[in-house]
Amino acid sequence: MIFSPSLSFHRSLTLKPTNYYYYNSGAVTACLNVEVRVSGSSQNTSSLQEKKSAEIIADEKKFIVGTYARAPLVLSSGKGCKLYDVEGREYLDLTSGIAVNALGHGDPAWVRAVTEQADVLTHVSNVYYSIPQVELAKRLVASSFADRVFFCNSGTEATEAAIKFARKFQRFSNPDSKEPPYEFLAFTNCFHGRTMGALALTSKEHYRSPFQPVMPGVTFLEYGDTQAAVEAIESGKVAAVFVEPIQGEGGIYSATKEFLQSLRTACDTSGCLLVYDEVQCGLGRTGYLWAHESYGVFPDIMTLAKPLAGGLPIGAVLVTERVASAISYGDHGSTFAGNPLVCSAGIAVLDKISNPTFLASVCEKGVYFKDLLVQKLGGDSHVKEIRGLGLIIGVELDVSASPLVEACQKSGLLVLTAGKGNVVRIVPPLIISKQELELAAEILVKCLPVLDQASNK
Amino acid sequence: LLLVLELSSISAPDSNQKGFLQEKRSAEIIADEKKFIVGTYARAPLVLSSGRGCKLYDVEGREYLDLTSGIAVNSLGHGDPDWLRAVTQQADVLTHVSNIYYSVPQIELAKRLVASSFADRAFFCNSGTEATEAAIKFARKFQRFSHPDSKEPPIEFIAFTNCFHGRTMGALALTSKEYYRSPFEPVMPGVTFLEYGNTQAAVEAIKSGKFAAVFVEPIQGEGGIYSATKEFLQSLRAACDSSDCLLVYDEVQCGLGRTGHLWAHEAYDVYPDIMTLAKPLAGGLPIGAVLVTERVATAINYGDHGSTFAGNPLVCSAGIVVLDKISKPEFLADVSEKGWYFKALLVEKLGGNSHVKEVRGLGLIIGIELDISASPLVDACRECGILVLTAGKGNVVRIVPPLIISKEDLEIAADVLTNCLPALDNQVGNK
Repeated sequence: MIFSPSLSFHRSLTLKPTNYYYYNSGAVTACLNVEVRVSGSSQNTSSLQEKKSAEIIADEKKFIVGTYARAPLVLSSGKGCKLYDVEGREYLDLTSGIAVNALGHGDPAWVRAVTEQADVLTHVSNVYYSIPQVELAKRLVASSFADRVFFCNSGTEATEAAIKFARKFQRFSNPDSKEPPYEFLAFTNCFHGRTMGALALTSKEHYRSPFQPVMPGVTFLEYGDTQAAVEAIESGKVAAVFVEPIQGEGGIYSATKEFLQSLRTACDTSGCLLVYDEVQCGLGRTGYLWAHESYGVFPDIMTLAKPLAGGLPIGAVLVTERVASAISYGDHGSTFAGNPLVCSAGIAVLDKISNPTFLASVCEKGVYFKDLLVQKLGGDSHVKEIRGLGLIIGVELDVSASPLVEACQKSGLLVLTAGKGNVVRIVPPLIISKQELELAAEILVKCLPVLDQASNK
Repeated sequence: LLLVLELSSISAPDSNQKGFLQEKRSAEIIADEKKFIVGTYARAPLVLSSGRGCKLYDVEGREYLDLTSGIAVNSLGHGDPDWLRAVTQQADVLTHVSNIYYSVPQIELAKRLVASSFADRAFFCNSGTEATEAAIKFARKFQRFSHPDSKEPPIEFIAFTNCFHGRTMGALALTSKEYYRSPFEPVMPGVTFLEYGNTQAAVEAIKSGKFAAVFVEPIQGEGGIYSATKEFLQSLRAACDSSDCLLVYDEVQCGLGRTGHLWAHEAYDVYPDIMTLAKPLAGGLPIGAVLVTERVATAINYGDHGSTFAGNPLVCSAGIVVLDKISKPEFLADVSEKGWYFKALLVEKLGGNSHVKEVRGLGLIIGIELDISASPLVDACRECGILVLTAGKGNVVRIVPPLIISKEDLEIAADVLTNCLPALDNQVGNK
């Protein structure tokens, strides 16, 4: 079977195969190289795109600080759920840039919002008022547990703001106390960000150890260990508990309702704050607008980022009025945060995603895809479990997932890993079609045998 | 005698498409902000809805001359055509893929930054505070990497009085204003504050061998527009060289052409190991960057740090346009010249006023130090259609206009400032 390029996109397509590979016992090695000339606007950037992958990769290794072990793929354009590399090869995107491109690439409403606002007003700082941030805040408040919003520029900045709000809240609420609660609880396999506060809350020790001493006062407990968490919260030393309703980086582990409910109750009793990190699992990813809606357990603070502005850097912290009352002028700030351009993009994204029909579709596609994966992959001896909710799905293997990810890439399918590298993480654009999901499942199945050929990492 | 520029019924450009949003009056919008936004900002009572060049327009259509550039962000002014074209085009091609994959614009931007600076490599992030956080991490990792056998490699930091490096927990630990930090203690440990400009104290501290890095702004922006002396920076450099401490320049505000040099430190000819940038780099889109030498970069491995959004094609395409413009020698020479002109004009027109202590700065980062709170002057200027900022203890007028501002606009600004000075005598008490 030759993986044929889609003919449904508006680009001039010259079928000029340069290389043929062949399928061999089910392992997909066939690849039709197609020269795709990306239309219109990119002609101005064609000088950039003529460079071949190898040159670009060599340049990255020379000019960029080496923090990322990247896949050997230079992406240069995208449309919907399709991405294209500099050689014009097409890929089906099940990564959405790590759960960022929820509306896919080049969503027309998003492009229109960005293009229009960029010509009106991009940035004025928070010394002044501007409308889009207020409009976006109103929508976020209207659609959630929260009463107020603080904007920032990323998920890690959202965590940092939540840390500050929690500590200020406790000082404000315990004015006569010599030692108001200032500590934090976080859980094993969690991920909250890479800046020094968020980093202190992130469980992977090797993320933290080269940079010690980080922010003090963090205790890690086992994700899902209700008893340990309740005991720790009831000690009265904890300002806030940070928990992801579904752990993304950690391996697509979902909390149980009982666990979240117990955290909620313990927090209510002890004055501790409950913070949900929905940077990855929020904003429609689960088929609910907020992941926690599926549990019916509500937080005091929620952090968001990734898909909120369709790819532009943004973060947001949603808080209750109780928490907000503790925050005063000057406590926190950001120059860029809440700027009109990014917030206009955010409005376009949130309006789409929060539509009940849209969410129902994510839900349905999620169930369909998970079933399909169970059906097609479940029998393979390396596949331990397929889990997730909506369109955040993990396929846990008993070996490293890297060979499978690489084989998929060669076959035109992009997926991620998670956990200890043994979980295939699938977080496609929420607009992905059933047809595309079926294609993805096919490719995954065909690539599975590569796991037998590679030795364990 | 207050000169009031009545600019009635000026129709803001391109506002028709956003008509329904802009019909709301200021009061409604301000009320909404107070209701739906966490109250961290004490904002000026001004709702801005559009801009062009150095002009901003509020929702009622009043025009303002912008000497704030969104706190030194909008260096090319509002709606620069080349920036707009780059953003519009790239938004339709590719916005974000994450750093799991390679993409071209971030590499192109990195190459330009490297070519035009002391640095060998760039790390991208999303803001100035994130740039500080990355610099903190790079410095500590460098020291651990350079002292593999040491039980206690140098992990502490020096920062200076009146400094500002950001609001997230690491950057916050480096930021001197105590009341910025105290509600959030304990922050990241290991920071010592020394007096900005106190060479002896700094050199002694660095030579103790405990410090991973020194963070210094060549020109302190938030702190009050205080410039380092060459001697101070030179001494820091020499002390760092002797003791393997790293020298980090925070040029988030004073870098990228603001001083008339591409990098503020070029005016001093003293080079850092690490430099943080942000604000103007992508013309208003959120971006940060950390420029490092190869020596520092060698210590950094895969997985040490990261960011989902950072280096994305859309923001970096904007950055390329901005950097290409700002780094042109003619552009920089023009900033330099306008800076001299404006400062001389301010000295001439304001210098005689009893409240004006000093007019200082370099290029188009200028401070007017008063002996009282600057707020009444800022408010009066706003009412007359000029936007300026404050700095320091609130007694410094901070002027950081778009770098494209014309001499004509600078003359208008100087006139309005002069005419508004009497507002300082009308107010009772300092803030």
